[in-house]
Amino acid sequence: MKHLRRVRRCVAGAVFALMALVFIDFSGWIPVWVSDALTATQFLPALVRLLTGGGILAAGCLVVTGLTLLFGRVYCSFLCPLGILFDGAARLQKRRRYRSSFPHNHLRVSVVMVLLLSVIGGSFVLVDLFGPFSLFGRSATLIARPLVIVINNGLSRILEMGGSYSVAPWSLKGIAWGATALTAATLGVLVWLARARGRIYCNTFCPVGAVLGLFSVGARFRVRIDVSTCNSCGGCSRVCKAECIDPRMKTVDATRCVVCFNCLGVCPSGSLFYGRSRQLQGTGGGDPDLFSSERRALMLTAVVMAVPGGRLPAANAEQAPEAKGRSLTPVVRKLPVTPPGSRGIDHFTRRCISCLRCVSACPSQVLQPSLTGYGLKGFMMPSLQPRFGYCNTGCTQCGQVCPTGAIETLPLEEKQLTQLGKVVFVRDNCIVILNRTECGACSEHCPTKAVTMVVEKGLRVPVVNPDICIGCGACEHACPTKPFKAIYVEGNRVHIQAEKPRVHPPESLDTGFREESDFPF
Amino acid sequence: MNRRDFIKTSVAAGSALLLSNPFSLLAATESEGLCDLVAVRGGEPAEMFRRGISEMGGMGAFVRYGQAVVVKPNIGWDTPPERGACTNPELVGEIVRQCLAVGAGRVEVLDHTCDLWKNCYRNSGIEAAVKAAGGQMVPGNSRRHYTDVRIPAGKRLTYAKVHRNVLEADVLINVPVLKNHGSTRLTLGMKNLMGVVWDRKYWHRSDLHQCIADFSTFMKSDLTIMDGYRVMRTNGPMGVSEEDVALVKAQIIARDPVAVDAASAKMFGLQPDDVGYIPIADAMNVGSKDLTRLSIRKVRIAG
Repeated sequence: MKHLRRVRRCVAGAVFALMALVFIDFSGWIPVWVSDALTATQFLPALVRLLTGGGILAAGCLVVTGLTLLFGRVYCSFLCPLGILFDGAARLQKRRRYRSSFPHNHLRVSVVMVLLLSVIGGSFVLVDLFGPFSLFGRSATLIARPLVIVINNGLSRILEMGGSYSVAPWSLKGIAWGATALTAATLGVLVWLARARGRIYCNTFCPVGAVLGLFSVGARFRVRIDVSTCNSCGGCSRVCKAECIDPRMKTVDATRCVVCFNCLGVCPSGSLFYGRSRQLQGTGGGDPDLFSSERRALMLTAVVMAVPGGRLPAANAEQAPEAKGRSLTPVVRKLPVTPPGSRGIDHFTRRCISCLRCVSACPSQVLQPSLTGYGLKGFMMPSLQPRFGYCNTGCTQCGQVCPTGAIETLPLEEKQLTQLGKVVFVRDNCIVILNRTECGACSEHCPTKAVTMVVEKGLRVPVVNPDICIGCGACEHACPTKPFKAIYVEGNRVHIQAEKPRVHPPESLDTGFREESDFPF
Repeated sequence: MNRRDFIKTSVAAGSALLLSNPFSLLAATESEGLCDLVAVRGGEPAEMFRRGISEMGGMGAFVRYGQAVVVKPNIGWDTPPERGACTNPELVGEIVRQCLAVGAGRVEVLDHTCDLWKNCYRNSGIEAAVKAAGGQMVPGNSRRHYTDVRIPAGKRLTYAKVHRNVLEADVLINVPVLKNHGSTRLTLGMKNLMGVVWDRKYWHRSDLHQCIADFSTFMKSDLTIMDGYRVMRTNGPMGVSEEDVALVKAQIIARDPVAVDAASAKMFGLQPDDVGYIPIADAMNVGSKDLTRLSIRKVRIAG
């Protein structure tokens, strides 16, 4: 039985390392299929994908459910990166002694009620905020990744002193300080909780823990106590990080047990085992009462979890106010620009779990978490923010790695014609108008030439054609004016297809080029 | 003959010899090493460069043994060579090869790109060509590589952050690509030097043409090689598709950066004064836009 713990630690260690690597990988060295395969094992993203579209990658949710029904909450110890992080944090604490605790069912029920109420109110933000994969993803993307980049750049600097350019420096321009601070604070609280009370989060606020706990009620294989040999010494409950073993009643609460196997080797009389029930005088105090408050709480949570796919349309259908009369300065974006493949704000916010996998994968760092852009219902969901970069025409990374299908994988040709938003030119902020000197930075960067330069009083002024604009944000990123941009992208509520860029410009755009076969001097 | 006659004859012969350098006599008849500007039409970029540089006196006239060379092509955009937005990779590779062949200590190639730098370096084909030729690609998109410098003659641009490898180099070879530009009409050699500074936005909002000329008073390239193999006729500087590009097969080489830009403007079909920063740079004595005063060599390669 002791080897079970060793196996768990090996597998959990590997899963955590790989998962962290996938988020931290800033140079795109890890292939997309590795990322997809890993995130497909995660319960909440796979569930969202299953209920909103399906496809092969949604199978992970069913596999995990099946495993849990049979083996209990093995997911929580083997596959959940947040749980594994908790285990690691708890291990660092020496002389740790746990105590068997009450199920806190009042708290669990309250959590479920609040979640349910917010869901009925049309907001999935609480599910997103408390989901373990999302919490891990945000921590990895906003904290671990920048730290690793700093280390990489330090190494690059040292190597360059020796004349070697083998380690390339990486630009750390995309830091959303507000979101990062919030995530760091959350992580701090979670780690503190883990060091103090082990898996307490998993058995109170975690929605996945609640659902899988429900599924484990009738698990065939579970940690059990042989009451005939147990003498209630309590040695097992002292090492149980889920605080689910009651030595006096000789019971192991399967709905809270995270199947870490830590207890198996500790019992002096060998009364703990993991397996099917034997025909003994009761196995640990009998099965829980069918209609216990615990079960009720868990069932409610299960209902809450099942609803992600059916987000109530009413709350999302509010019309954005029409942009009448562009204000000159300051410039404010009314609708956030959602990533290519997200189809639009509604499709996106119904499926995004704010894990920030897309933010960690975006090579230009234009995708950043948005604190207020989507309102309360989309807290921390990412949007394109051109002050950090712009959407690369040849790139489809975000759609390829999104674990829930909130951002669909688009073929490159389709992506290059998908209009995320429309360009808006704010003439009174433009350098050429203000200073009467040449600029042209916006048109320079435009991949479709939705922004062209037209002669006006001897200088070249931008002219925009929103129909061929794809909303990549390159113009906004390049515009040098201060304090407010003279050109920016206003998000489309629903993505549409842009018209194809002009290939043969009309005669009026004569650039002066003359085909000349000789030497003109 | 008596002694007086002998002395007179010797002095006459000696001064005749001294005053009329036989080597320059030879040079005058063959016109070797005297031209200011070479223009090549036809052929492939590497061959065009070899012919062109030999007319200028060979690569050895610009690079001495053991020197550190920086080659500055245009690698600004994440586009393949057929789009004509970046310098032709074959040309860059050949330049690197020639520098190393005359004994350069090291040859580095860099640019502060507009698009993602790893993509630009790779997809333009320049990284592969430089590596094959034995040169070293240097990243240009990290601020820590840039050092503050003052530009004393600058009117709008009085200081800039310049890439330290460029400042430390013994030889700077500027290899721009001849193409249309939406606001400056053409982007040529002097504008290509924007790629060695960190803050380009400042130039764009502070009179772009003046800043380009200002910077050229400070940054003196030793040689400019204009890549006119593929010329972007419109939608520059990035272009939208291959249809924006014409296969012109031209190359212009000179020391004087203003002269190269003036000749390139004419090659495109415009006049030097049509490109704002050329007359400004000429007025600031960066060089001369007057091609009539230059000795120009024209080379035509079949094919």
